[in-house]
Parts: sequence; C-alpha cells; structure tokens
Amino acid sequence: MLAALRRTRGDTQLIVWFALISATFATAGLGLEQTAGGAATVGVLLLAIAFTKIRLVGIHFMELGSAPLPLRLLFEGYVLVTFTVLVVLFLVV
Amino acid sequence: MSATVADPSIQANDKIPSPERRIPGEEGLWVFLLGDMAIFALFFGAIVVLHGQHPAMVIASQHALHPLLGLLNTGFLLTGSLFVVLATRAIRNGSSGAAGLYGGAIACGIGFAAVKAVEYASLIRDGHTAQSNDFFMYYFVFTGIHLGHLLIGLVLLTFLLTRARKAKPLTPGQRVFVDCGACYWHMVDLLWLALFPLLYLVR
Repeated sequence: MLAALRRTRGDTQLIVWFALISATFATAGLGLEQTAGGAATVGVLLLAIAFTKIRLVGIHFMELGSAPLPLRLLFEGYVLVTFTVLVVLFLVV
Repeated sequence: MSATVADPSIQANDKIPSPERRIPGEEGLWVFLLGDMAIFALFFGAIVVLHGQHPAMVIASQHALHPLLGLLNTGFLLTGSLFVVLATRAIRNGSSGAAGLYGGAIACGIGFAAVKAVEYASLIRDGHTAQSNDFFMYYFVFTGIHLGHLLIGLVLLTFLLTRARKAKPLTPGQRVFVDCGACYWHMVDLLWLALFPLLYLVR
C-alpha cells in the first residue's frame, strides 16, 4: 500500500484530491463565517464550489473525462442543469 | 490512384481511431447511477425550496447541526475516493497494494458512518428528530438514504478487497466489476458534496 501511495507523487488524481480538500475547507470557512446580509451571494458561491467539486469527481475519479462523448455530455448536463435549477430556486423562491 | 484503394494498410490508416474512449464499468451501471443522481437532485431542490419558504426555521435548525462533523465526513469520503482511485489502478495493473488501498477506503467509509451515528445520536439526545420540523425530516431522510448508499458501497468494497488479495490477473468480467464498484463509491462521495453545503452551510 505504501509503495502504491509513493507512486502517486505528481499524479493528476492526487492533485485533484488536494483541490477537493482545499475547496472543502474554503466552503466551510465561507459558510460558517457568513453574515446575514451576504447570505444570497455566499449561498450561490457555496453551490458553485459544490458543483465544481462534483464535476472534478466525475471527470477525474469516475474517469468520465475519457468516456464516450454521449456519457460525458450526460454527466456535464446533469452538473450544469442541477446547479442552474438550484441557483434559480435559491434566488427566486 | 487505384494502388491506394488496393493497399489494405492505407485503408486501415484511414480509420485510425481517436484515443480510446471507454465506458467506466458498463452502460447499465450508468443508467442506475444517473437515475440515482437525478433522484438526489430532486432532494437538493426540496432543500433549497425549504430554505426559501421557511428561512428562519431552516437557519434555527442548522444551528443544531454539527458542521465540523460534516466537514470531517467530507474529508473521509474524499480520501476514501482517492484510495479507491489508487486501488482501481493497482488492481488493474496487477501491482501490489490494491488490497491495502481498498482497506483504506473501507476505513474511511466506516469513519463516515461512525461520525454520522454520533451526529444522529447527539441530535436525537437534544430532542431533534425527523418529526421536529420539515428541515429535520429532510435531514434525517436524505442523509439516511445517503448512508444506506454508503453501506452498500462498503459491501462492494469488501468484495473488491477480497478479490484484490488473490494473485491472479482480473478476468474481463472482474475488471468491469472493479470499475462498477469504483464508480458507485465515487457517486456516494459526489452526492455528499452537494448534501453537505445544502444542509449545513447555505443560509
């Protein structure tokens, strides 16, 4: 296991994991420090970070980056449509 | 001109495929995964609508949650996903360490379930149950369904760990199963990445 971990140095997936963890801490900081006045902006930002992370997991961990185009488009469509609908609901309802 | 048509090597070169694109796992798995993700998208929408309709109740309820436990659980799932990525690569290549890496992913999954149990117990002890209000109903139902997915993922990872302990190379069928197990586990991770901010952080 340690040998397998050592082989990951400079690996794309490891870089993606660091990005995901960093974004998670940024999300928590942003969410916990928010004030009532900026809730709408912070809410949209939190959703944007969440769906960027979801896309990273799909493209890099689920290997959809090298999947046939229709499958990749279905996933990209899911991310884009879900994010857009949630933002619209969040701002309008 | 006729020589180019007659030469089979040239004909073959005309059809050089683009870099290999393959479905991770199999098509049926993706029908299930995308269907499941669509159902969770409805859950996400329900939470956002509740935010809009009853903001005071949602914010008051969110104060009873434990965001640091949610943060810890996000770390468990992301790290578990990294372990699964590395384990999948190791088992495909027949290199050593796949079993240990699956073990690491299972440990992360158990860690997530344990933290969730602690959080549920703490909330219930403080008098917050699924009957308390709509927010807590959504919280317990949606995170409970997600936890169910995680437990199924742990069973799959245990099968994969058992297979990884064998020295024999993967058969094509086993290779598909390895990919399916990995994609399912990543979907469990992916769903939590939306549930965490929606339930704990978005005001």
